[in-house]
Amino acid sequence: MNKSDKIRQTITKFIPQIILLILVIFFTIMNSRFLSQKNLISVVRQVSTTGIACLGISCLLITGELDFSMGALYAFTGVFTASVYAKTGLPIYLIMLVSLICAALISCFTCWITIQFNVPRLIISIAMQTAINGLNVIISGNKTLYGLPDNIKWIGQGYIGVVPISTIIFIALAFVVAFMLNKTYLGRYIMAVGGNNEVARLSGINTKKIKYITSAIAAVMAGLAGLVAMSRTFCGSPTAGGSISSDIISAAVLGGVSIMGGQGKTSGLVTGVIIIGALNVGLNMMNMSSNAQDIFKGSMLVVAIVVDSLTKSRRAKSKRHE
Amino acid sequence: MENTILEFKNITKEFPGVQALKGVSFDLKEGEVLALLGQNGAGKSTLVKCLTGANVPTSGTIRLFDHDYEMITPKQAKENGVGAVYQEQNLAENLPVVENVFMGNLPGNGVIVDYQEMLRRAQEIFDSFGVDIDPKASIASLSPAKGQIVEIAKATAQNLKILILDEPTAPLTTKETETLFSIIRKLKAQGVSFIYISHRLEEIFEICDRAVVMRDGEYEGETLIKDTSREELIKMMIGRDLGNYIPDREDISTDEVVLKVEHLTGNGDHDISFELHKGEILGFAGLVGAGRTELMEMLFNKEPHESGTIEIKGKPFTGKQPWDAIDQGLALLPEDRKRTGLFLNFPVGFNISLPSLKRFSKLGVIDKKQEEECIDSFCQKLQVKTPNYQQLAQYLSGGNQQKLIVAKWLATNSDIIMFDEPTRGIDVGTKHEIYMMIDELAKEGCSIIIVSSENEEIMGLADRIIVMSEGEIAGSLSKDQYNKEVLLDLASGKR
Repeated sequence: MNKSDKIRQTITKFIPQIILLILVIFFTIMNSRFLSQKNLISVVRQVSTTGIACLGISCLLITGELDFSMGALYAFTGVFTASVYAKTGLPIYLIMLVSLICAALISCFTCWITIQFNVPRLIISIAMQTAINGLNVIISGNKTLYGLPDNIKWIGQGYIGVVPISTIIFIALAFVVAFMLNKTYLGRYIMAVGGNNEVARLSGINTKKIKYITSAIAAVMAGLAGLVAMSRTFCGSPTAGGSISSDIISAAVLGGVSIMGGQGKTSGLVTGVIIIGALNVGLNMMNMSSNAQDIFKGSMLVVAIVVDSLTKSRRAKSKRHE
Repeated sequence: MENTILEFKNITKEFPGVQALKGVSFDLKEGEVLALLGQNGAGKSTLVKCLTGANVPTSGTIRLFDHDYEMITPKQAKENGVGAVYQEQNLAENLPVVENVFMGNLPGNGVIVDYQEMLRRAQEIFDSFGVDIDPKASIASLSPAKGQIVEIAKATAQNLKILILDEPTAPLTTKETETLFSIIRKLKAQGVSFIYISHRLEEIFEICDRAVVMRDGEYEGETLIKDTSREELIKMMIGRDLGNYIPDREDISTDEVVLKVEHLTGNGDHDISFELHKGEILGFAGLVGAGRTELMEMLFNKEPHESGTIEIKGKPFTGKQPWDAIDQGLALLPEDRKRTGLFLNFPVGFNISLPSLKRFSKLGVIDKKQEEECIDSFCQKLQVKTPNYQQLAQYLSGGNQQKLIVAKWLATNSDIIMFDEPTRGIDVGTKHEIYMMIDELAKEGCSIIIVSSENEEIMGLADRIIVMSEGEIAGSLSKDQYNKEVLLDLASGKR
């Protein structure tokens, strides 16, 4: 291996970090307030909710399954909690727990259809997204639901020092996921299933079980992110999901999780999430309209996937040469 | 046969960090079948890719029909009548045969395709080959052997002068191989030249005129086939005497039955009954498609069986999933090791420890030290050649990949090991190592099943051979009954 190969390898390894650096420089030039403390905290807070959801979807992406229904589940937990609380007045934390369990069950249902009928998860999840969004509208009566109890405000609005509590939750979960992926056999199994499902099965791994587990993890994390967002906005909105699905997939792919499965590191992932957060805040500061921002973010997903595919094919090429 | 139509002159090829070809020169004559021999990594594929235009040589010239080329583009290769058929098919699965034959070369006036003309010409080619293929059938409905003939037809349809065959017989049965050879002879009589790459030396002696041997990217020598012997060719390829190619085995199997299969039916097989003893190497011979791979898949629970019973060490076999089979001491080394045996994109260590991880884990957390000790001990034991355990499995040679899979199963404490075509695509020197390893495993008390289509291999290694034909057991031979003709007759259902 010569020097230029080594340099190229290093660059490939740090693509997410490099993209982030370029963005930060760009936004700082456009507006010097971008690096102010107040603004950075805003980025970090922004990042925390999508970040939690992104940690979850990444586990699923690593097994090689692409799922676009997480945005709908993100809105679901908030709407469900606000609605049930308004109607029954049951303990709020209990309702939140039940909403997470429901989200996990819905996602496992998506997984069941995919496995049972051998159809692509991508398509089923798009259908499920539509269905869950419909459910959200019905549950909420197509209104934003207020009237949540004050004792849940701390989750989305509290701070320890200058650090938002939601950020602390995100960081803690990032460590948990990193630990799970790197140190436990469940993590290895997830990698293995994404690497080659059939080889994994023939190595004695219950590949279906792994897919159910990761489906549940993804849904619980997306739901949890939805609850944090609910606590911050202090309402449950059926449209809260917005562009979450594509945001978290963009963040994961930018962070080096391959949509073909089998690859992904938590460190890259966190960078990916920060990129998306920086984009959101930076574009807002430039007074870009939300529609224009959507164009920009859509393009970001395209770029992310192209980069993923390019690094893959380059690796394949260098392999063929040996 | 005297006209030289192709000459490689001092071809070198460098890839980043590797010199794959180091000044190779030889020639090819009109109407000649030239065997290009060498171990994996000797540079055979790199060289022929310089001829098809897939590779650009770093230096040297290729003289093709009185023109010197510093590099050949795929288009020039095609125009000069250079065709290639690789082990993996290169056809559009969902299109009919005829479309594949004329792909990129459709007859007609440039706007409208003359479909009738296409059908007629395709039929003509297949008739001249003496094979029965319907030009309208889709590729997906053909056997791999017929697919390969379609590939040859595709090359023939384009003014074929030189045909490269890279391991063409790997997926073929004996009879299909005969058909292929008769096609080669017919084309040869028409003046077509062949570059024939194969690890199966028996075939070289049957079909080739001359052999060029390469080693480590260099031209090692050449010889007329009629003037040489198997041993001499092997020596040229690996650069030393191998001594005893297949180890002399003493039958050390005991009376203890470790695997007892009775009336097993399913996955295309009918009423299979046999016993495997401790320390025995049991061979399964037969033609490709005789149902041997299918039997292994059932035993390993890769595919379900419909009826019949399996007993392991006197206890009925339970469970319906591969992990149940693994728990009961079974291991399968599949035929297609790259696609179903290994995680090519993952490190060596990952591959070895994966099925045993639960043993090294406390509360789900992997004990890294125990894991490393395990990986280390089995790599040492089987002498897996790898710079470190972080190396990706794809960079290992075929033989080392095979050892890697064995290491993985030994780590799970498996003692009934099923090898499905253990030396497919593996070169001569490494084959020897694999044979030694299998012999060693049996000596240590493992019981082994080998499925192989190479008669020499199976007669050399196995203590007893069961021959299968069309999903049933056709017969069983003990060591003193071994005989190639008998094997072949049983396999083709003549006895």
